[in-house]
Amino acid sequence: MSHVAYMNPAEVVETDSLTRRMDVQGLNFYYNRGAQALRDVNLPIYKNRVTAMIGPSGCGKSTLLRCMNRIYQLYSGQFAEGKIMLDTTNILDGSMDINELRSKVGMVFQKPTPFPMSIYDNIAFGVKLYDKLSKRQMDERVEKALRQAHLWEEVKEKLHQDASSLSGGQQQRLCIARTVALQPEVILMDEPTSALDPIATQAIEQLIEQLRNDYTIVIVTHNMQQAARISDYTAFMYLGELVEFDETHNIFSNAREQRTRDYIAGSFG
Amino acid sequence: MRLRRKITNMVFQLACMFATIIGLSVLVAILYTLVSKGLAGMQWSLFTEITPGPGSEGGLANAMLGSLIMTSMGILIAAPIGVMGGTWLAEYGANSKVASTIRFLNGMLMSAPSILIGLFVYEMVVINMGHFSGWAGAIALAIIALPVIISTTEEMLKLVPTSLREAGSGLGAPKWKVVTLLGYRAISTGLVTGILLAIARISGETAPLLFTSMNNSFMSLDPNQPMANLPVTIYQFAMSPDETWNQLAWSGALLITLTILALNLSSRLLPRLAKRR
Repeated sequence: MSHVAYMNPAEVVETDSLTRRMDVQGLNFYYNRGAQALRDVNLPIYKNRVTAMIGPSGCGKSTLLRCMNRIYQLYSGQFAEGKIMLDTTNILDGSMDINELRSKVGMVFQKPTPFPMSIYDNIAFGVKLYDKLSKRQMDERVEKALRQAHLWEEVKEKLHQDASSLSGGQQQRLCIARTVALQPEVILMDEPTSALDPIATQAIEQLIEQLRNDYTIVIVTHNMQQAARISDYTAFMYLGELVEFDETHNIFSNAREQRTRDYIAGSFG
Repeated sequence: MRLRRKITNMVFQLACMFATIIGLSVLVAILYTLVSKGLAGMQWSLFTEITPGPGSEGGLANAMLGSLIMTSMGILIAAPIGVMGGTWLAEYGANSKVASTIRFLNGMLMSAPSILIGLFVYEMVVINMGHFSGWAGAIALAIIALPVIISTTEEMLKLVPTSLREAGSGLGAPKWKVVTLLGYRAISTGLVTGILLAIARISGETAPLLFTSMNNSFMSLDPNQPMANLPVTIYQFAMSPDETWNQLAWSGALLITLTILALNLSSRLLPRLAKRR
């Protein structure tokens, strides 16, 4: 397919430290019968790296993200074909339990979605699904998750207050803590700062910077500056196709595809 | 032209006001009669003494307690079934044929004449037991409360935001946990409101009790026996020529009205209180 300028994975120079945590291979995605949202997408997701997906609205970047933990399966009529490898398992072939998949591939959404319960229980909720912990072990897990999400200092005095009492930015960090508490391999973030003010956005971006040491992060963003600031790799998508994937600095300064250069330059989208 | 429009407008406004006044004055007249006649009999003995025989003094203690017991049993039967049924409709049945049929039947049950439900339970329970009983009354009340709870539960669950469901599923929670641990919690005030409204609905029902629990002139806490209750007591006492009985009927009617008023008020206040918290 000549119009896909995606480099064959074999051509991407892989240094020793780069392993593929996930690998999307020949992915097609359909909303209901006939409406194809993704066409033959191939994309490696490198371990302990931040991969950003950019592109104009409706280009399929969120759809691609939603394939990676199969959250689209909540809706009948949506289906994917092709392969998405998580380490050595194809998560699309049904061999892996869907709930196990979601414990390994966590997701943070556009709007903060605290559960209607206390801050503590918001985090314990997910942990309880997989582990039977004593009260003390649970306390430790909650504290660790909150520390990783840079939220501990702000909430340690009010762990048992309702989570909805937190500010928007704090709520989003709580959602990240909730995801991190499951010790996933990959964290998917779907425009996690688009509902937040600049200060809260900065806090989340700093957090992502630190989380990449322990996790592999895929982030969909509408904000190109954000992609440039926080990601190691960037995928540019357009009309359901992956136009270009490369190291972020190459995409922003030296893109190979005209469409990528046009989008980066702001001539459309 | 403008004058004509103004006149039409004024005529219409006056007609609306007139209609409102007619409607309200009937309501006020009923409440006024109820309060003035009911208050006359409001005394402590109403709550401590049982229904008297003809020509003697007494209260409504057994009827109140019977109503309380049967309403509670009815709600305890109806609430779990209703919440589960509403959950199935909202979460699992969704747009299937079976679900739409159940929804349609539920709507019919909601508007079914309550005397039919009384007769149904009479056929099914009373005849088989051989006598009237508190259980039969409770079952009849449960059948009336059930469709109310089913439909409020379904409506409330539909309001649970997609984002909350996706967040729960995104952590790997199976659907039933998303619904019961997150969904129910998000709509808890709505669920309680629905149940309160169902209680309000059944606490004044007379027809379904006439053929099921009947009445009992004595204090009885045994649901296997006929059970006293306010609505049937009011019905019987109001029909009699005995003046003490008439007075008790008025007081009982006032009590039921106040209870229903309190239930309706709390079902309105509850969401506001919950929001403030």
